[in-house]
Amino acid sequence: MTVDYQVVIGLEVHVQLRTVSKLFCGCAVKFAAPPNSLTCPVCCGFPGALPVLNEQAVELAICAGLGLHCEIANTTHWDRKHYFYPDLPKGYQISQLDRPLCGRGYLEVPAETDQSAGRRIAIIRAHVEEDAGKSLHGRSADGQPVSYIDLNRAGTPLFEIVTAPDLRGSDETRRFLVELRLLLLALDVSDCNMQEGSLRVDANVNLHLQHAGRHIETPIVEMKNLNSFRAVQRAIDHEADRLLRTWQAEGIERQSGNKQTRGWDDERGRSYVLRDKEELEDYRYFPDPDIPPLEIDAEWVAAIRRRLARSPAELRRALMGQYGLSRYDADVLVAQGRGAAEFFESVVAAGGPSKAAANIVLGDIANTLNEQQWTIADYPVSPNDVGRLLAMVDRGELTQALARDWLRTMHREFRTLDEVLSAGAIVAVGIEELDRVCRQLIAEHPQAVEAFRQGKVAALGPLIGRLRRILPNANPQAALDHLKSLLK
Amino acid sequence: MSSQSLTAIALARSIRLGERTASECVKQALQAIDRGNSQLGAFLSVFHEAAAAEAAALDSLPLSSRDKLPLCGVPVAVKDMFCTIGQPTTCGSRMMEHFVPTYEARVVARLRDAGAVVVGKTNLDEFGMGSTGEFSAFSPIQNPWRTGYSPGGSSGGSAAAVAAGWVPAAIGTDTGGSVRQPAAWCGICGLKPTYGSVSRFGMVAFASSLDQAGVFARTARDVELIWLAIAGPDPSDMTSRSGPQVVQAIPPNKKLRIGVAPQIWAGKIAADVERELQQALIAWRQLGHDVIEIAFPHERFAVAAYYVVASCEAASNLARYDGVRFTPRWGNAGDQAETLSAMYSATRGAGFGPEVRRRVLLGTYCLRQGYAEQYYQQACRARRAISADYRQAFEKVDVIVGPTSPTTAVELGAQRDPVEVYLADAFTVSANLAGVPALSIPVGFSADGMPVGAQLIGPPWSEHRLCTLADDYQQLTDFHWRRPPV
Amino acid sequence: MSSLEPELVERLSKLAAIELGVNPASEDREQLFRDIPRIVEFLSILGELPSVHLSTELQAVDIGALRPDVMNTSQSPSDALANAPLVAEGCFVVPPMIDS
Repeated sequence: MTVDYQVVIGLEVHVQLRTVSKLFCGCAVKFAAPPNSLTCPVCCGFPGALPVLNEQAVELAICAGLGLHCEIANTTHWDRKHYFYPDLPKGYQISQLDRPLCGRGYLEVPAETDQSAGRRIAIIRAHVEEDAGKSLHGRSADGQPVSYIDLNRAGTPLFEIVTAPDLRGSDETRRFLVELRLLLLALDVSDCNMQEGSLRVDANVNLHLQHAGRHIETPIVEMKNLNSFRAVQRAIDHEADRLLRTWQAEGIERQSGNKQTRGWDDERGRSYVLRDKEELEDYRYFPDPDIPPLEIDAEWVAAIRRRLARSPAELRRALMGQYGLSRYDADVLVAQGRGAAEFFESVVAAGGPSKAAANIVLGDIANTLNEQQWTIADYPVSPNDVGRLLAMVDRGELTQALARDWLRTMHREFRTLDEVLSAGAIVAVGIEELDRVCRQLIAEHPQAVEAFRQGKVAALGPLIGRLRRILPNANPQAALDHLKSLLK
Repeated sequence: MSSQSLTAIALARSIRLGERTASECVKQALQAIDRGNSQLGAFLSVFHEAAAAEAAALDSLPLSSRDKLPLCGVPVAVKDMFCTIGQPTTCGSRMMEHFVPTYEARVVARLRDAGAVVVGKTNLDEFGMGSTGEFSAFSPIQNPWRTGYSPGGSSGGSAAAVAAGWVPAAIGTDTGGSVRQPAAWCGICGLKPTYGSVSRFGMVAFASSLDQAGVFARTARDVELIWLAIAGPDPSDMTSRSGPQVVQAIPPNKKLRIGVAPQIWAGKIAADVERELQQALIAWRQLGHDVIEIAFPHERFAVAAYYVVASCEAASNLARYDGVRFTPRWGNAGDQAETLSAMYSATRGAGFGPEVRRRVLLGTYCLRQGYAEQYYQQACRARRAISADYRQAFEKVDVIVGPTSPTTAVELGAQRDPVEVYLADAFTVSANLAGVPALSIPVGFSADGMPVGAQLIGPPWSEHRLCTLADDYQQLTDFHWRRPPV
Repeated sequence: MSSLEPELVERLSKLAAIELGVNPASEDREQLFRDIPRIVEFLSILGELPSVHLSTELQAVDIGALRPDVMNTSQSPSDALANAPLVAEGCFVVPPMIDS
């Protein structure tokens, strides 16, 4: 039986905000420190300790909210969400229930091709909350199973983004997440490092299907803590299959109370039940009396808006419009991140033609970064020098090949373009001078010219040798090319 | 003259001037505690060595550098709800019996900065929940005025220590009357300051939006001095605030308008309490102040609103006592639990005493899904209405005066109905709900010789006004100097 | 006097993670059956408050009350663990959080 269905997905994405200290205390936010070395009475939940809200966390969240086109609340407050778990020190998590910092917004998933339109995915809300600690599981000295609690992560600021169930299928979901990650990186609000848990995804999945002329929705499955975009995509595909088979077998439709929570085992490629049904979860939320409601000054929001970095969508538009790059090049450049795009723009500003600039940033430079495990910020050659180099090629003062050689020399030896030029090892030869010498050699060596015209390309070899004696810095390939063009 | 019959102000002055040493004052306090504590049960721990060392350090200071120490050498007792570095902080609970903080409550730090010497930690109702002292997990507290009677609660130990004359001043916490009611029952002054005027950092939380550190002393002047020493904004407490920059001095002979709302207490207080309260009002009239009747339309919601807010916040604040990080762990397999849920429920079932469990369960009842609107939200609205009542009243009057407690001290060990006990807080809880300062002062004695207190309530940051009005009264009377027959 | 249904007592005890009847100082369960309904009945007066116009919000603060994003020295791990009932490997140790 073939069934016509759509896979419908809503996401809850947690990103760690890039602060120096925790959300409510001055302990450092750092990955992989010795257990419980980044704690204090506040993040350990010791008696009498009180939370004090980190201004930068709120600012980064407003910044992210603006990037997601969210309404920013005039007044917001924090609520306590109660449950008992050993990694939750106070017996409650400080989160936001009914007055989130960021209200409705959207993020556009870019179209796959130039022709099709992008899709706006609605953001329902986004808020700031604290992370829990970490647990490790093992056995005690006498062999009993136990868990070990490390509170270094407890109190780390998180930004939780909740989307509407607007996503269709695993591929669009992955593309949404890629775009979201690019946006958050561009805004510099999070490092979005999934291995370290700075970006975590929960996905609510169900199927909408047409059956016997009726619109049917299957029960919702909440997939918890998907640790890579690949895992998100695979888990959704797997769940869609499972939901379809389950519906075909049981015919159960979505109703309140039949949502299931499942975990994803990426190694084995299968999901497992975490919580069956909506067990009556009762978090007993109420406003945290230790944290007064916060008035968000409109001037503050306006100032953050003025400083807001370009979103990937804006950048993509600029690269295609202002710089005339292809959709493909623009995509690849945007995907390299904000640093790469800014580098590209500086190369163009220094005189590099935009196509050549894109090629070198995405080609040689990207390869170098890859080989050296550098980020664009580590790259030792300034975009200005790269731009000047490309301008020289453009003016014909340098061949493409030689420019690439020089670039390699510059990053290997950490030299500037001026150093390379003035070192005398290789000084650019002006095209006029090259032309003059080539014409002189053609006049002086008629036999060689004749041999070349009869098909002996090698006959020009001695001419190049002569030329290098007159112009030691001339690029042999450029000279050969020029000679050939004069003899055509 | 023994240092024990001096006010904190006089004691600090004489130590600053070098007329007596901090060491001898602290020694006298420690000796008095050692002699009497087995009888009163007011202290849970006494800091013999640490207090002596601090006193000696003060004595080694040159006289010139003592000027900045308003409480120089004054022995002070602190309720065992405030964290003290390296010294046990039990909250009167089995749960915290072995807890030794690695951090200090801001109040304690500020007392030390002002030159006070903390001589020990006082007994209390567990986590501040109770009004007779009987919910201490460790020992009952006796009222110094009569054995077998309660000193009040929850800061009963602090009140008893001052009333017994062991220390000139003590610190308590007041969430719904826990400083004022024991002050009234023990015949001393007790101030619940403006919410936010004193940092709550390191003060173990019962109900965060109501809790405020308070002061016990014999005289209103001492109370104000100590409040000034511990008050001030604190970057570690977002709810702490700074008051008006300049405290409005009250010109001598200024006529104040004293508001009374007899409809609130009429028929609900003991005859002795009513009589002494009326006498006090007569005294203030004789001092030239006006007494004006005011309305208090939402007062009837105060106790219910208080118990909802306090219990909800308590249920939340006490969730951290879980057997994982800083409390003992109870379990069904000897001392170790086999499962997580057994660890939680056994630890919290065994570690908390009956009143704490009742309030935590009550708070859970009120916050559970589908009921928060009916209880918690509605209580918050009542709170707003009560605050508005106060604001309107303080447009007409400068101070409101009434009874602190409907009765004098009750007998220990009597079976009491919980609602009746809660209703006895009727006159104190509204000041916590509205965040305004309130001061209880001794205004007489019942026929059987037990102290009676009256309560002065003012608008936010009117501590100076309250203490001045009380001081005027104390210049005319000697109730605050009467000593119990310990 | 009505008493609390046993299911509700169970539920509250579970939500608050308080095992009833383990503390010999009181006969919790019986007392609860008696006390909580009595207290709740008393609290029902709140229903009489004409309240639609009243806000439930606490007094707000502005950005000035917030903390600058500055790192402070943390406590030592030994201070973190000083009062813990069971520790190993620098961690708090608890019964297993996952099925083995």
